[in-house]
Amino acid sequence: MGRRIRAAAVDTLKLPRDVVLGETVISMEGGSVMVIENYRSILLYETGRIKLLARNGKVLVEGSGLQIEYYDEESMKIIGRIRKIEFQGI
Amino acid sequence: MKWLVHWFEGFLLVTIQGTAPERFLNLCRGREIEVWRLKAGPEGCEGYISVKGFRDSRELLKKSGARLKIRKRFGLPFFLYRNRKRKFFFGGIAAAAVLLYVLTFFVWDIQIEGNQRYSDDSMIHYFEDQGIFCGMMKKNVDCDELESSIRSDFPEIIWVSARVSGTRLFVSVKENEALSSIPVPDTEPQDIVAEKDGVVTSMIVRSGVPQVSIGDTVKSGQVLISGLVPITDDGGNVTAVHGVRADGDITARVAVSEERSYSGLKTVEMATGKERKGLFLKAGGIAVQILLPAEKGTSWKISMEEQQLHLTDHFYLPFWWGTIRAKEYVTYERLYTAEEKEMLRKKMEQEFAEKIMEKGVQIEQNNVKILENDQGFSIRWEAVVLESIGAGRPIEEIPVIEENEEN
Repeated sequence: MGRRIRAAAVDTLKLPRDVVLGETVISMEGGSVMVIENYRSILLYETGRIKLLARNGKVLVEGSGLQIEYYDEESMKIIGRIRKIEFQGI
Repeated sequence: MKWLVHWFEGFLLVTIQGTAPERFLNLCRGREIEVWRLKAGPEGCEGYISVKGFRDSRELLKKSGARLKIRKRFGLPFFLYRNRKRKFFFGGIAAAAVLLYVLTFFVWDIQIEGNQRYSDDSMIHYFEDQGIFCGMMKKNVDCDELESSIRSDFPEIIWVSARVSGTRLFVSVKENEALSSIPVPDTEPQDIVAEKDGVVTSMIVRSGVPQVSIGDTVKSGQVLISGLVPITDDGGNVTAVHGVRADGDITARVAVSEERSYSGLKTVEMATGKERKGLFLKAGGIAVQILLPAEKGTSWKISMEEQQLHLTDHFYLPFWWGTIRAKEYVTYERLYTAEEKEMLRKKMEQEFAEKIMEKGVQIEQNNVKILENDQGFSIRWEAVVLESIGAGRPIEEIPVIEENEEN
């Protein structure tokens, strides 16, 4: 089933986009804790910057003291002072 | 919980060095090798990895061109390795483990549930008489025998269950809430006499001959219903007297009073704010109190909370501990204030009203006064109440009537 058909089905039937289309879900607690689900891989990890590859593009997280608390197949938890979240190539 | 698993298995703090640590992290994710608390730094990426993960990641390191530099080792395997020469330390741990194991063979706590008529202390005392006590071996506790002896020695207990769980003995009992036997009515002849002075307001006579009527003033000890029933002939002459058990309800209007005297000076205890805290330890029969000594001539109120050490809900140990808290106080005497006297008056009024109502007595008039005197003051409570005044008094001798036969 093509992505277009699936997107149309999601819109019509009001299905969850993250489950059907694999869209990235980002949850935040204030500006210090962030959990990102449905990411594909880590592209870059350096002081103050984490870039992740998602299904529909890239997600760039910028801040200071950024630490990956845990990461696995499904999600990643980032703690630190988060200043910016940028979606690239969407 | 996860932390405990990591600690048991051992884990490492490592720095991931190389041109592409991200590739190594992604490969670890694919192989389900856990890496956590990652922090990017100038020397590379720093994070924690389990010992097993470290061993499994060799191939991934080759693939990604990264290197792992171990910074620190954590967990039980490394702790044991570091302390491998400390024989006494491990000996102590082994001895503690053996001691704990030995302690599991004994009963260290007895819990009784469902007892209302018999206190815990009396039950435990009974158990001791039966040879069941804290500190005995579990294998010597015969629950079936204990159950049967409780059932036979406590007739009010209709159901009992005893079981040993861990190092605790649980005894559950169910007491009989209904009367165990029907009381046998007393049939001995008796009079109903007045317990108090008063004026009779109502009378219900079920058996016997009434001696007073409504409105009569009666004195304490006066016969109200006589248990001597005369038998008369056709001429109205008493031919015999039968003794019966007089029964009835006689209510009278009774004046009651009570007085409480106070010296006029109230002893007040005031906390100074000074506190001493201590510790209480007990192992078996040996108890130790650790509390700093008090200055001479000071008064302290000491409270103590005792707790029994237990590893789980059912694994109790013969060790007790608790905190001791001592608060310093000073006492002095001062005159009662008008508010305090009024409070005492109200308190006394309330106490007596409750006491009277409990007996099922009805209050008609009620008056509480504060009377000042040379020694201090007193509170006088006066009331007029309607209460049952009849009480049974056995008849010692039934008079014999001699018949005069006329020829």
